[in-house]
Amino acid sequence: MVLVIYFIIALALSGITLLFRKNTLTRAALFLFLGLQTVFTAYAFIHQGQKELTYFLFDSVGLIFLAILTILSYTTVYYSLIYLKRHRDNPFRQSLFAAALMLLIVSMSSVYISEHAGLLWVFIEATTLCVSLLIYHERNALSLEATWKYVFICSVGVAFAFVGIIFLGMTVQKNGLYDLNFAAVADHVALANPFWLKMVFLFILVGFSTKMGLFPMQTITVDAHTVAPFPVSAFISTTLMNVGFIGIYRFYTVLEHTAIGDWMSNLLMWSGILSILVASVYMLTAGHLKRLSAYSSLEHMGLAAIGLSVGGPVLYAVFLHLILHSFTKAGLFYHLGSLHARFQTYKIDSIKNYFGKSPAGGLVFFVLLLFLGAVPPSGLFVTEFLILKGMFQSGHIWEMSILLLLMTVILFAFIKNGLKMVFSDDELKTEPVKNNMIIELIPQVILLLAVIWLGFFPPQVLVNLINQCLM
Amino acid sequence: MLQGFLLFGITFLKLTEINWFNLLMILLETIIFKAIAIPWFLSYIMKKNKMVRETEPFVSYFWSLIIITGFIILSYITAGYLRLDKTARPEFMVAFATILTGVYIIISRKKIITHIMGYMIMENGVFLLSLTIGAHQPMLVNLGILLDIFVSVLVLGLFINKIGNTFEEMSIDNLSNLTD
Repeated sequence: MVLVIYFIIALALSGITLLFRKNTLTRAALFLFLGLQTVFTAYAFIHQGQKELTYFLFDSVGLIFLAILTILSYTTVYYSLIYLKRHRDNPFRQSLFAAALMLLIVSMSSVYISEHAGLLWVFIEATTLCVSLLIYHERNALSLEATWKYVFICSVGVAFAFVGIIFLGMTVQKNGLYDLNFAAVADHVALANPFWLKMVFLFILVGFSTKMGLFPMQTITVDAHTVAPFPVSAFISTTLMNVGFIGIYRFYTVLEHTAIGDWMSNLLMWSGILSILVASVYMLTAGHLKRLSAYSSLEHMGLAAIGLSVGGPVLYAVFLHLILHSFTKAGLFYHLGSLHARFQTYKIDSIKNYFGKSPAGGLVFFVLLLFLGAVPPSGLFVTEFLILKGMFQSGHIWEMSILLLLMTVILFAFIKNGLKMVFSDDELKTEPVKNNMIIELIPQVILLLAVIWLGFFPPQVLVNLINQCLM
Repeated sequence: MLQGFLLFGITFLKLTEINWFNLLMILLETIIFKAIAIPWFLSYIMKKNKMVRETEPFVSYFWSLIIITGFIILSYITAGYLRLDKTARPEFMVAFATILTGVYIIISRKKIITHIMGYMIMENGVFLLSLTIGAHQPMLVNLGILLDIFVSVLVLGLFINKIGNTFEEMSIDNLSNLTD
């Protein structure tokens, strides 16, 4: 019931913003929506483990991602307001932006808590539609190109995933099950034909990798990052990739204990390693700051996939890794927004002497890059260490060595570009425009502190929540 | 368009077991969207943007034909591996071959409008596939319909108009500015 009210209010809010197109009303609706989202998340936490509307379940995995989304929606709305103010778009486009943002948050929340394969798929499709509006916000030829590619390839990918779901339906139908609740499916797939199940997982992996940004379909998310407004990039890179992860994760756990468990984990492992390979190659040559960050997301999602394929206690590290990565990467993209306002460019070669021009901004930027490269005291160091340790213990020594090598390359690319932008001399002595840097920096610093805190001293609530996922 | 009508016929024959409301929904969807609305919409766009039928494939028609024949054989073999029962086998074969053909058309052609048609073909394949289990799980069929209505008509149509306005010729060669 609460879920229905949540949907209705959210739809009403976005409808009102679109209908009246007043800037003050748009802002008010965004704030009201944040309140709604918070109340809904709190409700989900209180009613943990409870079923809602027969197809939704507040389980611990969903709750973790829902919490990340709610926290990041605060910062994203904050930076969206800054973005809209800075660009002075007309009221209609502002209201369109706000409405699409709200619907995107709603559909992502619904993906996290869906317990039915078909429903999960519907909401993933919904996220594609909402985010395409946001990517297209700047309305030039480049954003048209990126949006077109994103919508088209995502649709094809999602259709692939649908084929996978149909196959799953056919498989369980033979065993007399006419419903696709994940819990019910898990009981019925044990004796199914392995060839069927392989087809299911292959289609699902290819389909949802468009969302997660994993190897076979990684390019479109990178393109989408490049042109999207920066608060939206922060979402695409974190919560939307978590959407892809949760899609793959749900199917993976359902099929884990069947005959194809080993095959799946190998597939996921190599998909992850190839993602990291692609990321490292492109990061060395990337000249666009947003693309650099996008490839870094590719790397972290690859690590998550590898961790998932190793399984067992490593899953703890995977979930923590996704949480910390979401916070750090969102922080970086928020920072890129202020950086762009200062330098009017994303080209790495054109950004010089950031530290000299703005000590606070340069410092936060460099720390963000270091944190993403998993240099301590970043919490990502802990989780990456745990994932690598898990690989070592489960006997994936070769894969681990390749991974370490690639991660060194990625760290090198980060530091090289970072040093160039932050400390190099600016011969032209260009004077960048001033803006209120400090106000924009505060949320980023809070996110960074949260990453240290969660990585090294995770609170008991979080540990319990993650441990429940592993059971 | 032809495919749309065929699907309508198949649906009518196949789904006699489910309740009438779902049947009505699905039938209406196939006849309205697949057979009338989408083909009309596409031809409207083609007229509006003054597109001609001539396409410039990466692969010649002869080889395309051979490759698509290969897909049919491949899906026949796959159907054999899957050990389907007698009635489901031909349906699965046709559906799977259609999906592969759609993907192939998307990969091998240059024009955006042809990409959309490839997507539609793939979509029809997916729909047919969902019909094979539709008798027991009508919800999945309805979901496939959702995929159609939303993506194909609303988004793709809107964007193709924009692309037509922004670029001179609607070819994917225009869409390669995003690089590192």
